[in-house]
Amino acid sequence: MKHWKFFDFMRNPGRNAMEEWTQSLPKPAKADFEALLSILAVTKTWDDRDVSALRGGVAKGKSILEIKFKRAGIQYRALGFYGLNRGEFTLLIGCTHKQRRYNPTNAIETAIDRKNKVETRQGGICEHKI
Amino acid sequence: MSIKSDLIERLKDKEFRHAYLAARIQKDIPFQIRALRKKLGWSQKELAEKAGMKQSRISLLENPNHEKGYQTETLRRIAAVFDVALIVRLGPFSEVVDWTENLSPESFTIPSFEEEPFLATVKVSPQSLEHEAEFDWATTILEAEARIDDAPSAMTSYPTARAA
Repeated sequence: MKHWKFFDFMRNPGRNAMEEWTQSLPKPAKADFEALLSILAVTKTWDDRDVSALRGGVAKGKSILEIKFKRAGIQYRALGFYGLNRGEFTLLIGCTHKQRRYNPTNAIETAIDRKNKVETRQGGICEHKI
Repeated sequence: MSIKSDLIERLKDKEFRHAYLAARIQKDIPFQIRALRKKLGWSQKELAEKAGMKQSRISLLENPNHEKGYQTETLRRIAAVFDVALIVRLGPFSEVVDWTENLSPESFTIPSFEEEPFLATVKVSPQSLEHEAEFDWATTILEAEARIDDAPSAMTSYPTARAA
């Protein structure tokens, strides 16, 4: 039984932001992300070690979360939020993280902007293929 | 396309499929250890004491980002503490596909030997052990399966447990 279903933010019709990101990753990192999502999908309550809320700075009060994984010494983050519906998580942008800095540097702002677009139905989503 | 066919398509890339296998090992083991420990209500320290390890080692074993891999002997000791099987063998990728396809919460909270209804219901008499060659295992297994027809569905999630 799956507890969670993942969705990807669509930049434009036919341009899946998360798929573009995962395609750009080294294959071991891509494999890590897919394996992690498959486990999170069947994990009712996520552990802070794997998924945590962004609480400070521009993310404060925006309900943005980050899925965390590391491969070959690089810390990767997939930012997203709970929703649109119960049991769903929408992935907004992928990035790397080093010494409290995200790359791209505007990853959090982009995530907030995309979350707003999804919630106001100005931005599209499609189911993430695990 | 289904989850299964999507994954199969991606596994056609050799570099990706071996990376995926590594990722599965790296992620599945920590989540299994965490889930089993939590099921028993143990802290990392308690598990460490039972396994004769340091708490910091349990912390590493539960870290899906720990990239140094696992020693089979370490995992065997952890498996023994939980009284579950450790299945290490070479196998076809179709098993990896099936494992991923059939992942469920129960994939992580593996039943201990005593919790497996199938094993618990098989009765072996001393006489049958003396004449093991003549013992009708097939009939015994079928009878046991018949007895657990109405049992919870836990067994269906653990095809490898039956083979172990």
